[in-house]
Amino acid sequence: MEPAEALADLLEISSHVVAAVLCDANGAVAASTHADDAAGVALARTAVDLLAAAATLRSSGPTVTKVEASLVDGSVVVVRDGERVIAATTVADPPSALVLYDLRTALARSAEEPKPAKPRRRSPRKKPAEQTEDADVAS
Amino acid sequence: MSRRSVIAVGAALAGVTAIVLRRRRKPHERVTVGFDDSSSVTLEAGSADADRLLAVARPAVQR
Repeated sequence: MEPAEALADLLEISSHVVAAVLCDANGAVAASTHADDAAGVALARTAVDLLAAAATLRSSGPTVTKVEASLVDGSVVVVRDGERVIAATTVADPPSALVLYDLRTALARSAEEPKPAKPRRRSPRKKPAEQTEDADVAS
Repeated sequence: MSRRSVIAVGAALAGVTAIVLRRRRKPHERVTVGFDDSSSVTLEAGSADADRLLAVARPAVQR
């Protein structure tokens, strides 16, 4: 599935997500729900900065896969799977488990290979119209 | 005023006060970080680490 398609589905199924971006671990944007590119780039930068800041909590330990910053006006949720990252801003006090599930689903779907188009079945050739008895009668 | 009325008024005032206080209460800010070993840590606003992460996130929410 295309990244933009995965984000469009995310916004459709989750009423809590305000905006979202798919990017790589360096912040290079693959798709964004923002109308202007600058806002998408800024959210991707925020995601990368949050992951980097969170990594300092356990500097020599496990890799950060999720950061959820809950603020009064909304939340920023970042999910990382290897080199792929999805980040979203949400409404205030969202159901975090649900938002995380939706983000993980969108991230996984964005990585799916697009399905090859099925070969179209050839429709059987139409037989030439048979002459009706009426036509024979008329002639 | 009867004793029963005083108790009723007091209970009503206590209920209204509780509702007002609950509405005034701001949702607390926090950060939850998850790791690939399935561990996670939640930091409440006020700690140095939480405030550092919240400061990074805040502009994105206000945008």
